[in-house]
Amino acid sequence: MKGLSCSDINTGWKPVAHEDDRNAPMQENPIQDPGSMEAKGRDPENGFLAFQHVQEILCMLREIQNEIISLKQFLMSMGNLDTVPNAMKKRKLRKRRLL
Amino acid sequence: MSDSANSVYDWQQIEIFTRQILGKKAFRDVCVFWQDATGGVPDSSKRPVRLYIVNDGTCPGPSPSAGSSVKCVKLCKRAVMPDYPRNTIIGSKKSRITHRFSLVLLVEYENGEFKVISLPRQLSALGSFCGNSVMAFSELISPVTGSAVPQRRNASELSEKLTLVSENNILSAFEYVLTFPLDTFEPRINPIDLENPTLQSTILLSNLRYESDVAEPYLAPAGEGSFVWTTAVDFILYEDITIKLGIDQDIVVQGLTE
Repeated sequence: MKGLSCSDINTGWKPVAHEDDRNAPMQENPIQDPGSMEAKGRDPENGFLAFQHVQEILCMLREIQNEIISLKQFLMSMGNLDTVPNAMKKRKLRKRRLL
Repeated sequence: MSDSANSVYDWQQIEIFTRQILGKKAFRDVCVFWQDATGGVPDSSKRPVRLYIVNDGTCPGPSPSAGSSVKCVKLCKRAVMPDYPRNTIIGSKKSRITHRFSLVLLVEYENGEFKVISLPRQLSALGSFCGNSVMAFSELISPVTGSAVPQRRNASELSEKLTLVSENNILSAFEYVLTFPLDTFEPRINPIDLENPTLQSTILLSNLRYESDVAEPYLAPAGEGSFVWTTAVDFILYEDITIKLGIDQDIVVQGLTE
């Protein structure tokens, strides 16, 4: 066997690539992974992004709440409209009986 | 150093940035250039790659002249492709080292001539002598499809693969892939550390060595009913591969700086 007079090759420190995508969703969804949430909390930039995300969710919830309230009001008004003709019908029936 | 400098009251909090080695693994005598047994039945040991090096002074034809056969082959250089070797963590159980390289061989012929061959750039499949750049044939390339024939080996949770990489229809490098379980690192790596965003790896290639044996003359098919005289040379390559995984650490100590 012959050796080759060449120097050793050292790559130096390089970031490790992760091939399996099972880890990726865990990082994307911090709610499912408390560990990654903690890690993000340590990073100011990630913390700001998480804060923005929460703000967006709160805005959406407020919109949904307003829609529910307006829908309730609409249903109530519809209910009132239904009750008026019923009452009228009852009154008419009574009138007929009286006649 | 004065007594006052040695006083504990003079100590200060010093933050030191360092890289903590999580685990290390050294693979000794790794054969990174081999050929499986013909017929697709791999045996226990790796066989050298059989190179059919075109003789000096021969030209392809129906009845070509023998030319001058190869006397010996020496490895001049093993060039590693930029950004290689590289490491990939597969899930939480395996690690993979991908290594791309090319070989520069110095060929001495019986007539005293010398030629330099660059592999795999000047390599071709048996039966396809396309262009003057082809200097050698190999069974690592399929004569039917013209694509690489991957050489594989699986033994005791280690998986190895050797194939060829082409760029713009030119064979640019050999690719050796070694996949191994993460628990082979010493000491064992905590799976939580694999999620560390500062996780890094370093790979050291060392102790490169080779074996080359001139086997026999071989009349190789060169396509379209023509042949060319070659010399069969068995060539195999070994080296040590060491990989380390590490993470960044900030250490706070009490002491004095110089």
